[in-house]
Amino acid sequence: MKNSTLLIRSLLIIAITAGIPHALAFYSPSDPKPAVNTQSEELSVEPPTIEQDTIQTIWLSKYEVTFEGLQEKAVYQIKKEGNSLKCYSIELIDALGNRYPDSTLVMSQIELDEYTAKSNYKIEYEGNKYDVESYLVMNEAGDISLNYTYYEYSGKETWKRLY
Amino acid sequence: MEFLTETFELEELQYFFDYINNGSVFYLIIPFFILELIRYAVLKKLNWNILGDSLANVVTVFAFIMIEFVLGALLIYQLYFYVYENISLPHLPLNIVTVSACILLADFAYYWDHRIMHRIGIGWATHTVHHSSPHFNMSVAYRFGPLDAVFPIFFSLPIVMLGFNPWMLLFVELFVQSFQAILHTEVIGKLPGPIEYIFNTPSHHRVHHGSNEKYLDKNYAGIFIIWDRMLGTFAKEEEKVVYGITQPLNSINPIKVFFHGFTRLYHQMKSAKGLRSKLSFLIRPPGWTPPAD
Ligand SMILES: [Zn+2]
Ligand SMILES: [Zn+2]
Repeated sequence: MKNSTLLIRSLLIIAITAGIPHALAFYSPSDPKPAVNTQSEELSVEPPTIEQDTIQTIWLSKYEVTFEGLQEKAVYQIKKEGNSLKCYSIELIDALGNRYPDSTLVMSQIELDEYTAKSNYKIEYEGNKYDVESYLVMNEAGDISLNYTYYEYSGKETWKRLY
Repeated sequence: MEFLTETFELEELQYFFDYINNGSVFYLIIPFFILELIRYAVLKKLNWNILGDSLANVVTVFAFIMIEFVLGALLIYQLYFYVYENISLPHLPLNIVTVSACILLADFAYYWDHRIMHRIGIGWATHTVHHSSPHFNMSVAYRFGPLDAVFPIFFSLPIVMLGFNPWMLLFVELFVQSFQAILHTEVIGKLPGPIEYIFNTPSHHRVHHGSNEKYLDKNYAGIFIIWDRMLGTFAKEEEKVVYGITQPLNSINPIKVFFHGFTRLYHQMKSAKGLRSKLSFLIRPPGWTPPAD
């Protein structure tokens, strides 16, 4: 078989096989992004639960988490399960940048008030596990800053939105 | 049609593929290998050479895993994720369509990786190890050469660039390897026509391991034999397969087995005259000789 035939057939195989999932992802976006709400008029006549849904949607995303004073990072994901928002740690990134899959529930009930939120937060400090009350604030870019205090110990985190 | 776009978690995917990739060693490969040993015994073919050869295969797989481990920690994660974050098409969600496409692409990459390993000197130096056993049983599937973990990297990176999650790709690549493993047997004859047409089967892979003239450099497939059919490298199992390489190794010493490709390449390069001829051995197909001047 000629080299040019091999090349053309191979490129076709790759284009078709990779094209299908991309086309599907393009035409049915499954991860809603925090777009500006253009349907606010419609929403005002809908029951309030819909509005609650819209607010929740804004928070649903993956975030790269930087812990103040630590080199390790993590990727968190806020997900909707049933009617409540939960947050999972889905990936750990060590100081060298190596990534390890993870699946730890870190927040089991996030209470939203539009762009701020409050949640219990499971943290590990020097080998001990704590459940602390944390406060989250989302900025215009969709990133989150998180604060908590636990007796005299306090922590700060930046969650950068991943698209 | 909603199930097509229903996304799942990386962890679910890992769990599923772990069950197949790692689990199958225990519920499929080892029992099957015992069955093969019994078959050898019944046929009065069981001897120390087969047992020693199988042991050498297991030693090479451990050497291979160690190399893979070091390489993985140092290079693959960093490189894959760098490429994924910086030079990739939009990231694809994890759903059934993406996983299926990933299996097809990883298998196609395997085809080309495998074909190239057969057709360039440095590739053959490592891959000849897999082909050097004169026997054909499940343990041969685990017979690997020193650089067998390196070549696939070049063929998987483009898949990461196409937007496929590197972790998913890794699971899928191991899946292709696991599928390949169960093909190494003489116990299973030919399977029903449609299966033999689409999938790589023990029969097709026996051909790949043949040193018979008409079987050389044929049936490179991992899971799907259709790639060989489309790209002109398919051969059907007709005459009896003579397993092994054209210049037999005649050794069950694991160290010899593991390095013989590189020793042979080194000797060829050493005896060649001129730098050009020496280096040509790295990229020319096996069996190539420098032109006489
Ligand atoms: Zn081969
Ligand atoms: Zn094989």
